[in-house]
Amino acid sequence: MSDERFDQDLRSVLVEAAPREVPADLRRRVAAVSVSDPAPRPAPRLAWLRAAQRTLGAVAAIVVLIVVVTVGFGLGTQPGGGGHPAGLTDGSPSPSAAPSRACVAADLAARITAWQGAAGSRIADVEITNTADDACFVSATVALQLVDQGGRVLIDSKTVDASEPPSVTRTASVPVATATATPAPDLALEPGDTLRTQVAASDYCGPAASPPIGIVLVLPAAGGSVAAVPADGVSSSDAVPPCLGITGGHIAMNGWRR
Amino acid sequence: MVDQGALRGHPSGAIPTAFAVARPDVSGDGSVARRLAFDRLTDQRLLRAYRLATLVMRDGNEAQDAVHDAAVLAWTRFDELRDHDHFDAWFDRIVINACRQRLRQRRVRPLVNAATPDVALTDGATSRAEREVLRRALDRLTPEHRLVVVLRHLEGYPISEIATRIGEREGTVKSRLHYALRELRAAYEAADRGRESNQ
Repeated sequence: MSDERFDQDLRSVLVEAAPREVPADLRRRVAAVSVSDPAPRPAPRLAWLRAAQRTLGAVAAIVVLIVVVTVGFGLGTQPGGGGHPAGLTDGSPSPSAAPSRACVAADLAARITAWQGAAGSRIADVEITNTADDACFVSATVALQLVDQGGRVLIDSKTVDASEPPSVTRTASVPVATATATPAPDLALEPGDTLRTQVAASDYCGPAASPPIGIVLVLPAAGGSVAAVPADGVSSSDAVPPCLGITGGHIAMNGWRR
Repeated sequence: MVDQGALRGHPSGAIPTAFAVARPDVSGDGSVARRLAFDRLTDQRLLRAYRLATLVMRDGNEAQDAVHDAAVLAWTRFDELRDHDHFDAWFDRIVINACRQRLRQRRVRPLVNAATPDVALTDGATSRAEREVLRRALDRLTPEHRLVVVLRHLEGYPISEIATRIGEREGTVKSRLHYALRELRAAYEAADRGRESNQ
């Protein structure tokens, strides 16, 4: 009996015993993983951060001790120890001139430059451009809606389904969400400026939707709604996310980027 | 096309409850891009992961659960993976550990070959009986031995890659492979001798 024949037969047996496709149920369950828990825990980063904080705390304590001892022995430049050396305040940033008003829907034009799909999510690259004559600022947080051709809302980020309250508390318990809860600053948008973001939608279980599929950005403080529709040549025929039956619909966005 | 003007005025309050989302989720930490990357990577790797789990566990349902466990764990640790080029090996290792965990917890019964298809005779020199013997011998291997056989003879990984995936030294991989193949070969040769003596 040759080694070659043994190797061939062993491989044949393995190939025959191996599944040739992924069961639909497993595919659905795996696709739901990142949807049901949209913000994973960055454990090492947090651990590193905690260690860094501890180290900084220790260094700060030593510095304070040295300052106290120095001042206590009368070696400081400012007897009495109450004031800061002038040099410490020179470097502080001066506040930039921010636009005085928030952008409203009439100031903005929005479009979708690409739709991408992966597993259970559908992701839109969204741009907004200030078409007004003066600068305004865009809130870091806008509400989102996935809409179809007729303007029917498929998924909405603003409305809480009263029948599923636990998912609200689940978000609050996700470490990343709390770790990054520091609100991003509003972004100034000069006339003609463009901001970009990605919006991910998942788990749509409603009736069939008609393309093109768009994203509506609902601006805060009665700023109105801006619809981002697919740009010319951008297909949204596969933009409706598949039903996972996990969240009842989910839509989220990254922070704005220039 | 969508009528942009019509959408501007869409009443956001009039949304059917069934389509409502529970989480206003707006973050500036790149979570959407991260999710896209994760979904793509797992999607590409899913068949291999499921195949590996099935062959190691010898139970399709347990394999599905193990792969799902692995996906959940991989997602929670996705930020640890600095280089997405290493996702395959990283995810394989998580799948393997998920299989080990389930095998420890549930003492998975080796699958009897009732569900496996009949072996097609592709050449006249090899009998169906020999392959059947080989398949049963494979079932009798320990999961750890079967694992290295699958990674080597089905997936075709070199020893160093197998060591990375199973989290063992190369020497351990070689040793397990040696003993596993010795057992398989013994069964196969016995069947071969039996076939020759019957002719």
